[in-house]
Amino acid sequence: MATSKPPSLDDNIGGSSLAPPFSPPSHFSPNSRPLAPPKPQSDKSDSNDNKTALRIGVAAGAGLLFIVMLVFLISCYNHYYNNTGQRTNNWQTNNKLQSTDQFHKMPPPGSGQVSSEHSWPIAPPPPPPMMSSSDMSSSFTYDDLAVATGGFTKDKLLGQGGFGYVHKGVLPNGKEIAVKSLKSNSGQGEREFQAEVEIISRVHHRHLVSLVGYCIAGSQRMLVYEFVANSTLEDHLHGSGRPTMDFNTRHRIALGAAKGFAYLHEDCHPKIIHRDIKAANILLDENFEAKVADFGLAKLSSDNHTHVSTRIMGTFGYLAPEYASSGKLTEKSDVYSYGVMLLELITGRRPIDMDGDDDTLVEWARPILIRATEGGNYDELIDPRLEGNFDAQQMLCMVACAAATIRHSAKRRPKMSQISAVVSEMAQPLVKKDDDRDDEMDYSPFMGIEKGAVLQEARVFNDPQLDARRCSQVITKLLYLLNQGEAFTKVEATEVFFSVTKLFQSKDIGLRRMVYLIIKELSPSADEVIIVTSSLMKDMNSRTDMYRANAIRVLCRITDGTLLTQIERYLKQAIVDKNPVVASAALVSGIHLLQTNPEIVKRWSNEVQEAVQSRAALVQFHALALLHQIRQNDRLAVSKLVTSLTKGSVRSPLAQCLLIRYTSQVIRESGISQTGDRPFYDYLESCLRHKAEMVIFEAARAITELNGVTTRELTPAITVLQLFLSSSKPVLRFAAVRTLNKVAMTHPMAVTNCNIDMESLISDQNRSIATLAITTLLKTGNESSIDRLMKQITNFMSDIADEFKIVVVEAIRSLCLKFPLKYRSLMNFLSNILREEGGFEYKKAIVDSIVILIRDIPDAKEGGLLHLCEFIEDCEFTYLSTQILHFLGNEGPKTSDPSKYIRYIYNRVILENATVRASAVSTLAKFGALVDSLKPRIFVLLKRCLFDSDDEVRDRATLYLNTLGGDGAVVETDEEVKEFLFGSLDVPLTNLETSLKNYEPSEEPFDIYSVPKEVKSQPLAEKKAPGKKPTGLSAPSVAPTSTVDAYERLLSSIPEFASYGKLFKSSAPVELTEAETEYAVNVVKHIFDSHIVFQYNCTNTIPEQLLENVSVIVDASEAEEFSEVASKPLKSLPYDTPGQTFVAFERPEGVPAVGKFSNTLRFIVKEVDPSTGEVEDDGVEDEYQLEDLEVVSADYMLKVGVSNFRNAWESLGADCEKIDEYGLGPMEGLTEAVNAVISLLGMQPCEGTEVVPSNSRSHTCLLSGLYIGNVKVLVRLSFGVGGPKEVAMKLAVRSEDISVSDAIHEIVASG
Amino acid sequence: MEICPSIKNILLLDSEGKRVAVNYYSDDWPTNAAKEAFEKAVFAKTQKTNARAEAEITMFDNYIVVYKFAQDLHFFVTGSDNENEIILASVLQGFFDAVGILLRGNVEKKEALENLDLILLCLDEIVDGGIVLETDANVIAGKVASNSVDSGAPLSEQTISQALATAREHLARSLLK
Repeated sequence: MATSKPPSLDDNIGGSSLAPPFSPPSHFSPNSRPLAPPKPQSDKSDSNDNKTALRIGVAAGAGLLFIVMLVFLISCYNHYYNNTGQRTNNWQTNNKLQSTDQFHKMPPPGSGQVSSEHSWPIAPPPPPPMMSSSDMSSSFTYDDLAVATGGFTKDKLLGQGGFGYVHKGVLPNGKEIAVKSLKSNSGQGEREFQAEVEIISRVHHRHLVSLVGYCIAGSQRMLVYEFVANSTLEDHLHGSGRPTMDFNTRHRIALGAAKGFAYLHEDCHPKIIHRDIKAANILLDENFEAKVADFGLAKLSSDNHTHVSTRIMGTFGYLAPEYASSGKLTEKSDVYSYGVMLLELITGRRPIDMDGDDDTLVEWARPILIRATEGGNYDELIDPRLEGNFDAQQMLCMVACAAATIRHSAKRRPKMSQISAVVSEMAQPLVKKDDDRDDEMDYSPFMGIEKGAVLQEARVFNDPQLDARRCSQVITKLLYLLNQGEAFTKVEATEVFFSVTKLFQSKDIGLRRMVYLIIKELSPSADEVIIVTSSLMKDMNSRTDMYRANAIRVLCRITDGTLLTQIERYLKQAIVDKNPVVASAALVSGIHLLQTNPEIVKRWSNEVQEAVQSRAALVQFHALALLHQIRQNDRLAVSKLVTSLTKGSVRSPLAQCLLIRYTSQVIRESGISQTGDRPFYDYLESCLRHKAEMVIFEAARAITELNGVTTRELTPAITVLQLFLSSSKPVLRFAAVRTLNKVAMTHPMAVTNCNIDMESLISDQNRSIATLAITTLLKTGNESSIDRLMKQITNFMSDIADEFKIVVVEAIRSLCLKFPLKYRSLMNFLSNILREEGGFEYKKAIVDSIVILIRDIPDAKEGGLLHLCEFIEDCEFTYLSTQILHFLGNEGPKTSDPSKYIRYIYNRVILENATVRASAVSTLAKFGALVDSLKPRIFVLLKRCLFDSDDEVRDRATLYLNTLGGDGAVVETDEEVKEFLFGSLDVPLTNLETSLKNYEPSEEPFDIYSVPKEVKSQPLAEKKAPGKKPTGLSAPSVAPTSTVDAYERLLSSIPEFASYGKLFKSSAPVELTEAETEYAVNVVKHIFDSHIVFQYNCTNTIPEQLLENVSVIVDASEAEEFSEVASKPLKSLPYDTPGQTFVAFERPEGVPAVGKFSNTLRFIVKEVDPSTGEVEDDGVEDEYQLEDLEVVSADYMLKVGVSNFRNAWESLGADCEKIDEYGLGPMEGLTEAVNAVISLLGMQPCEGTEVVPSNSRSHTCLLSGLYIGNVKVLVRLSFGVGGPKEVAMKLAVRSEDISVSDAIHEIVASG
Repeated sequence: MEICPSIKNILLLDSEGKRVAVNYYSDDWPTNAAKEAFEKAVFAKTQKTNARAEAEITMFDNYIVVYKFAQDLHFFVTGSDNENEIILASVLQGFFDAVGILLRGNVEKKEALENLDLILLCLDEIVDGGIVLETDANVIAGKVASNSVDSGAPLSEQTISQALATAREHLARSLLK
């Protein structure tokens, strides 16, 4: 039969052996007897004394440490069987005797006896069956072994491994052994060797090859192993002529080996790492049970690594990557090697394909395994020789194990015990209990969870005998799935919902909570809600507080308006419930419901008011939040609320924060009182001394955000923020520095006190804090610190998010404007960061900054333009490229050497997309127009553009060639061309766009003068939307389109008004009713040349009413110049359908007449049955007083912007200029003054001059507009602060008509 | 400014950024994909920071995110960029401490998943539709625990075979992943 065939040709890494000092070396019957591993066999053995008789001299020639596995028969086994009782002592004495005795006596066996491993006998004659007894491991003499192996002859040679030759032998007692002659140990001491051997020999396991004994003869060491009969796994899998191993056997081997390794790793102390797991080291006994050989040997040859370095390729296929690369050895490296072996079993392939395929087995299999773990097919993995004969479940287990064991990350590989547990799962009912689970493993109780299966499980909800715990678990699983983003179909959700409702039968509190949760998650539809309503209502009135609170929250979450009226009574009760949890639940639900059913929630006002006085902190918070939301449209009520609460009865910090917010809202709306004191400031200031940090911070922030806050008001807030800066909590530092950063934009001086604390934050671990600190310092710092700060910033610019980079860029821009002398280093910084990676917003901020610097600092121009040129060479953003090209066209020609930009521009024509190309063509033309010396070259370039593939590019090139005088002659470019190229477009783009869209191609060319010039104001809704903040540097918001068009169409469709001519202007709607009254009416004023039309937009908000014959009666007694000429009533105004009624007046042509009109809505009311929609026949005439309406001068002014105010101002000339000065009287800051004048004149502020920087003492504001009669008007306002709060203004008006200039002054004088 | 302090989301992720439990209270992320993208981004941004001793904070896409880590669990609370940072931090602290109490100090992923019901209830007790319900960890844990007193029978009540079966199930899943 087969001989064991030990370590194969490819040898490699040794194994460290560390073993527990438990029992003395013993030796047990290897095959067929499953024994508890570490337990020493009780032997029947003979006297130890005999042992000496069997000495065998060692005469190993080789000087290296080799292990040879040798099996030999020994005829007289009595010789070394000892009496159990004496064993230990004798063994040791013998040991010493032997070794000294034989030290020099024995001639080494010729190492040349074995020529090569290829000549191994493959199937030597079968050994006699093993005896039932087992032997203890012990020391042998060289003679003993020489006899046993027949003198180490070649025909007894089993193989050669990395550790040495292996011979087969038979002991005198008939036991077959394998003798491994270790290559020279090169001086490893005898004692150490013995110690190692002792450790190894104590390791006994059904799936490990046991050490029987050893021999020391001179420098030669030999190990004696039990003989394992059936060759190696490698031989059976890959050896030629072997029958295909069936799957069951493979599975058994995988399991056996795993158990063996698990024992080495986890049950031996210290653990033994094999280091050389491979198919050749898995021996098989006659029953094809796996036995692991060669463990614990590495340590024996630890001082000789030559075989590792020279023959590492041999087992390369098994090496764990981290071990191969770093030599870092853990038991997880073994796990990896085991995985490779497992793959061999699965695939039948070698770890490294000898046929020259480059991929190792692992590399080939890994993608398939990954797919398999994700549920994919892994058929191609399976050894085709199995022909499909395998148990799919077992195969899956093995594949899963293989996938887990060959993970790159050693940490994530499973432990051997886990592997054996999984591999065995299907094979055996007995599972090794996983007592020490691997903490490093990815572990989840939900691993492998599947929606379908869980939905099946959910059937337990329908059991008549509910198992509450089980049901809770299933709900948890469902929630887990939902939480992971798994979508349930409508049907599935409904099904789950229905079965969940059954769980209301259970009295289990925990289960009930889970039921509440899942109902909320499933968000059932209205008809499903009905099913749980009664259960939830019952819970709402339960005695258990927890039921009440949660039932309220669930019900309010899923309910709709109709149901709400039914439960309203309970909710009101709950709001004032003694239990704070219940009260809070009701109040919070109220806050949510206010969004959908405001009219119902508003009725709870009294209860909420009561709850505000609650002693429970959070109830107060929630009540306050709800109360404020109910009353938010009633300024007076909010003010009253704030007044009463700020006197101090608010306990919860959260409620205090709310109150601070309401207070600042009230402050914002009320403005400054007559005495100049700010109302409620004292309250905010007192909050700075609150004990809760959140309140302190909220108050500090509120103070810094006050409109026109003074330095005196700021100081206490800055002081507390400064304290926060040195807090140990990052959150506090962040909050403080962010707020101070904002303050620094408007009040840099106020923040300078914090500079020292701020400096220490530059190196804060939290990048956000560091960035904010630096940018704050940039704003407050002085010129000398700039260079140092810039260096700091450069260091971490790449680490921070784009948002912060933008903050930095903006800070640098303002810094540069502040210290123009430093432009060089700042510009360099900007150009550096421009080259780095970044998103659009970030790049745009940089480009904007550079453009501004170029504009404002003449010295920076040339360098800045070149930076921009370089940037567009590699710019992925079309928008930025075109912007820069446009800018370059305006600025480039004016530089000292314009020719150097041409290359960059023309490159765009060659390299970029059509949009950029077209824009580059325009830029070229501008250079051509302004720089005569470049003209001929520009012509050449433009002519090349005529062959561009894009229409627009070709069109532009043609156009410019013509306008520049395309004949190539150098001619003076005339003014008109310059105006065409550089002049501003004086129509708003959106208007132009609309007009172009409406233009139908015809013979008649498009007339640019037909485009309406008015900039539309924002619609009302926009203003109301909370939290909308302007982003970035974007220009004044783009006006919404076509309201004017809509008005014009509407009015011209009414015959009465058709004759009034062209509509000059339509005002924004003016509300004539309070919010939430029965009828909502607003009015739009339409100005015609000599008429004015009021368009009343009416909405009926009462469902039970229908209004008919709706008209507005206008009393114009306070508007003498107007006379009513027409009125157009509205026939019928049903509920919630807006309708219009009109009244028209005539006024003297061209005169900007003003006046006040009082309005009354008159109509006939008819009752409507809201359910049927039937209208009663009889109506009642009724009136409804509306607010007054004024026509003011601003109504005659169209907001028309100009893009370049200075140019426009110059071009209008001083002929019709009027200048005068006005005292505006006491005003709170310049902003108020500016806004007042702007709204008085109704003109368009230009170039962002309507924004007054805080704390400035003077300001210039530029306005432009179109006065009735289409007269262009420009206004330059210069404001200055005179005495205390006295504002003076110089008004300069230019227009096309001197009378209009006068008119403007009149407006201001009278306003 | 949002007048009532509001929470945009609360996330509990593992050390690889995978969800353990998440709750969103805002429509800013309408789809699961958007939510996952947000989680991924937040995780990537905060991963390298050390938020173990003190809660950390970052700004991100106009959101403020406060976060704290324990073992292999990452806790996040998100608010809008004009929210009071300290309120967000107090919510985070409440959540963090409550989980600590509920998991009896074993704040790690395995424990959290095994007690996912408690975690979900805990989230439910902290914030309702974006409005802060409670920030005191003891109160939160108290509310959650009072519900679970008689559920979740202790391990000792399970039979050994049940325990074995559970253990085996866990083990097999962990490998079959």
